[in-house]
Amino acid sequence: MHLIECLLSGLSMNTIDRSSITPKPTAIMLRQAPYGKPLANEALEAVLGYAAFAQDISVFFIGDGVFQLLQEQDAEKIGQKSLEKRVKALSLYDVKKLYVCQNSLEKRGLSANDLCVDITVVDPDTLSLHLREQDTLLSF
Amino acid sequence: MTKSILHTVNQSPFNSDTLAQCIASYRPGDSILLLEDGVYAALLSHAFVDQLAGTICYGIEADINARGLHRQALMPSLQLTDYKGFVALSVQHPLIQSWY
Repeated sequence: MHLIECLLSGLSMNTIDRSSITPKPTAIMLRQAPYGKPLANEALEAVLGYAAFAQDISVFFIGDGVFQLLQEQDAEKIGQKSLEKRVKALSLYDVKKLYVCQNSLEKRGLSANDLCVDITVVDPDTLSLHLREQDTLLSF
Repeated sequence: MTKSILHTVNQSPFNSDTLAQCIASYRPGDSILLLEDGVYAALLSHAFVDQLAGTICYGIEADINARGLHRQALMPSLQLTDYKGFVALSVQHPLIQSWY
């Protein structure tokens, strides 16, 4: 079962008055490299699911999760959908708070210029501080 | 006052970067709980304990015993606990971050 379906199971979009949901500051931490495992893809679905409920989301790309941000991902030949397109679509869903861990980038020889979206690069101190502003942490 | 985080680590640091990621976001007031293969991080014979020095660190005793690890082979500051202790720690910290 897709994660997003799990999240929404038992909830019907039609019966919920979305204006009655108080936005809960939530961090979604994306820590998986794309394609090798389904988790990176499922996590982005979860982000969109939260966005649909107008939650206050911050998305953090940490560890191998930074590889999800690379440009020119062509996954067609391995039978998968490009995660780059999905990452780029986040802003359309009003997910505007995107952060990437500076250390994780440096460890992998990457810089902000290599990434497919405008994203705030944060050092570990700032990242740790941002996490403490949340009500919920979701780790993928 | 900023919120404290309970960090749980269930991967061996020999195979995975999760302990390093956990340490990078650890701040005073937080706690670390080592469980499952995460308990190997507390082995005194390896440098991972240097990273854990100065942290408040717990380990699930059943996971440690299951792996045949002796108490004296683990860092002295490691506090042994069980799943009841895990629940207590979860209540104590407003945020929980699972590094898996």
